[in-house]
Amino acid sequence: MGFGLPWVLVGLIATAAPVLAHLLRRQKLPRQTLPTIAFLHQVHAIRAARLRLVDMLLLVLRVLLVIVLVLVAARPYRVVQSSVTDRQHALAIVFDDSLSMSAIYEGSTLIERAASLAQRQVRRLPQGSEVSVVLAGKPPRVWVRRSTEIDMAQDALGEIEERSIRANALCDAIRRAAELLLEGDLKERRLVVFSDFTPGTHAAECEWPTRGISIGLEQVSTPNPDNRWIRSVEVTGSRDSAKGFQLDAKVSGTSTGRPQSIRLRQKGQETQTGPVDWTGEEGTAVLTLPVGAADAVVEMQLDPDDVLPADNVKGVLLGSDTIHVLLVDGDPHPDPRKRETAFISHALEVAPQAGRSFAVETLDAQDLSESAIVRSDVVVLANATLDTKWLPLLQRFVSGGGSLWVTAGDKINPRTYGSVLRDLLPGRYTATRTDDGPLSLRSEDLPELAQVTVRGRTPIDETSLDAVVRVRFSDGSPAMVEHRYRSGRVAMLATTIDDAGTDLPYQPAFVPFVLQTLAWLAGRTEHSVEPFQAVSLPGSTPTQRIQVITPSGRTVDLLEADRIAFRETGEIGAYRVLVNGVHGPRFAFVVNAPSGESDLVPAELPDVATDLDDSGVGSFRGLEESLTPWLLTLAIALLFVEVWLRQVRRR
Amino acid sequence: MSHVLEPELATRLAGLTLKAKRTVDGLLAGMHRSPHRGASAIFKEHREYRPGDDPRLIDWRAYARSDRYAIKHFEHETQMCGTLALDISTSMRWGSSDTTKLDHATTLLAALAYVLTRQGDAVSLITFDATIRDRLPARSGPAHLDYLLRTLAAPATPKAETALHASLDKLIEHAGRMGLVVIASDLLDLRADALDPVARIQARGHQTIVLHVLDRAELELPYEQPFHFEGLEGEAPVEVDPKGIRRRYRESIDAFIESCRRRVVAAGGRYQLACTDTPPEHTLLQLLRGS
Repeated sequence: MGFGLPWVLVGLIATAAPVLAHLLRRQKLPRQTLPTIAFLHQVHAIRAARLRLVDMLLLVLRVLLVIVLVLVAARPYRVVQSSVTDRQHALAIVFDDSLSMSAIYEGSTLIERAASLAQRQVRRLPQGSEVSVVLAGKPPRVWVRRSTEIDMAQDALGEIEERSIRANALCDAIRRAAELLLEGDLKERRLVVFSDFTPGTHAAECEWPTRGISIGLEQVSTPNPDNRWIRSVEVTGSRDSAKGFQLDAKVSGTSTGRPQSIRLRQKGQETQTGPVDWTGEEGTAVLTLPVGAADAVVEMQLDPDDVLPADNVKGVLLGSDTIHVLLVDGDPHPDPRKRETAFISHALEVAPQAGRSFAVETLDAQDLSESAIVRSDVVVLANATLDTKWLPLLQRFVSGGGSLWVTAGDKINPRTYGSVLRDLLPGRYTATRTDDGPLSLRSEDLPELAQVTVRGRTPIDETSLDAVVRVRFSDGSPAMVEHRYRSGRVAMLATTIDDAGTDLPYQPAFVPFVLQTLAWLAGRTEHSVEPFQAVSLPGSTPTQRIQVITPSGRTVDLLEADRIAFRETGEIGAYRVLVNGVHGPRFAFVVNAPSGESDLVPAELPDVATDLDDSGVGSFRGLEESLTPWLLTLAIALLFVEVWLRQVRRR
Repeated sequence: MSHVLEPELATRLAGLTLKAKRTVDGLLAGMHRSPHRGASAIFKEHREYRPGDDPRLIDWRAYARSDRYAIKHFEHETQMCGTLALDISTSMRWGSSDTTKLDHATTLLAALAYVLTRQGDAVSLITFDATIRDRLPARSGPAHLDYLLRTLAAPATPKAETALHASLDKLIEHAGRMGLVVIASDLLDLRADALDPVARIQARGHQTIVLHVLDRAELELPYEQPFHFEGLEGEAPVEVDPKGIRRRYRESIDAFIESCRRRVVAAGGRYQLACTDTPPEHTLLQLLRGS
């Protein structure tokens, strides 16, 4: 409570006036003799006690009236908090626990500071209010769901991990928080966002609730942030080149003026160090890695001397973009040029010129091994009739994310394919081979296939509901059919992949056809992910153990399954995968700091209606509500009571 | 003539005749009838003789006519003795205007004394408060009237509050033969037995007239502002806003007046309210016409 004219309160001295008047009136009553005073005593005796009480009440009333009038003159007001906060309401806190909030300021992370502010907000909630907390690190998580237990909510805020490497999902978190608010019955709803509002939050692009929810923004940021991070690492060279790999690292941030170095770590061991050359706010460093020493993944690390050390590490994939193709030749020949897989091998050799990288392994059908299958991204069964013992393995391989390309030929057994792999395949071969008149191929993706001439084929009937005919013969029948099978993909080709019955290998469209098909089949693999993003990995089998080595050196044994969604990606750096203890380079992956989280300079706050002070630390904007109408009403009421008491006194 | 009886008033009262309602026993013959049978020239009635009656009273002429013994009754006109009793207590010395209750009562009694003297009756005067203060014996004649009026004009200073019961009891002793007793008082002795002596006065053969002298302000409590009221005879003061209690006060005063009137009348006396703002002749006219 406050007063617009506080000096008027001096007028409260006037409260003495009624008291003095009361006393003086008693003393100054004129004297009057009356012989019949005994009758006055008779009449007045009953009334005297009541009169004394009424007189006292009148005195109190008049003193109150003076006080009220003086207060009115002093223009009283009370400071009310925002329209919502002083009433029972639903509060949803969106708490940004992304990587940028791990920045350290004055000895504590922004997450710790924001948690403290959020706890203060929760502590101020009136009884019966409802609180929800949604964490805005990716993926957004409901940390507290519509709880009326204020203490519990405060404790929960205190349990938020003080460091994070998560990407930012502020917009999704806001949407989720708004949903939680709307689920409740309380009519007053408030959404408060605790974030550093760096450019990475993309707060301005969020869909802010506009109706029925008041919004508060609490910016918790680091003034003049001193941060450096490895923005990118370009890998040049290959395992086949004599020079090995060259790693060109680009560093962003503020230069300290001191010599800075960048370190290379392989399998947890620091193997190289190079200086960082700064030009303005950009730095560069070059490291060379001999082929022999090259692993599938390495880590680069800057000196951790800034406010956000977590983004100073970057995992680097060395050739992990390579698609591992296992060619299973069902018609081997001593002359490599006459093998069933000769043309496809040749096509894959020229792939680098087309920007593709393939690691090809060719095996005769009888030499097939489980390890070879597991290491591969795509298994090509070229005119191969497999022993039935391999069929369950292939099914598990495809279920777990592997891909299979079956090409026709005179060696395949349609019955076996049709019975054993019926569910796995998108169609079924109806005959071993038919020699038809010359047919051409038609494909929307690759029109050049129209130049191909086919004289012999193994017809396909589509059996899978989701089968897609990628290529057709000129008579409209399917030439290549594809479909997804669980986590993997399967394609069937109605012709051979060599020149038996078709001139496809000789056509210019052959190489693009092969590369596109393999790229589609191998397209599932993600080798560079954000923290906590799931990575699809093959599960262990009774005969094959799969293990993941995290950047910190922790070994995680994968459970037996066709495919595992590996979610323990909470460390930035390189993850290696072992297959029966042997390094499986095609499964190696890296988790890198989310892009945009390293720029700690606060952006402008989004233009939303706020009920909180933007810059204050939990400070509320006060509204002055005049108390004059209430006091005037009270004064009028007191006057009425006075009139009534005077009437009572006269009776 | 004393200043107590204004000449104008005395003239107005000249034609008035006070007639005692009851026959009085007086030494002087006058126009009042005597209750005593016997030696009188005015025949009243015959009554049958009863054993024990004085045989000398037998009217033998009546016996001759009716052959029955009868006794002859006569009426005698006698000189009346009027006793005027004036309350001179402190409360009587109060008035809301220039005229106090004592002034008014004095005027009334002076007028009565004048009337009685003019018709040849003897008049005595007694003043009292808690006891008898002054007493003039019954006499007649202008000289006595003058002396009486002078006494009325300068009553003794009161020494105590009104004590009607004791004073009137003493008054009986001094009233002498049966006659007229006029008591002028505000009767502000609220004890229950205050007026009991009136019955005893009546029992002694007196005709008792009580002039209840009150001020208009005492009747109506006309004050419009709160006062610190004080009594005159040692009562506790009280602060009262008269406006708040006027109605109940009047009810109380009316009840008091009615109570006095009822007690006086019950005792056989006459009651007359004499308000100080009522001209004395009006009060006396009411009193005499009623008689």
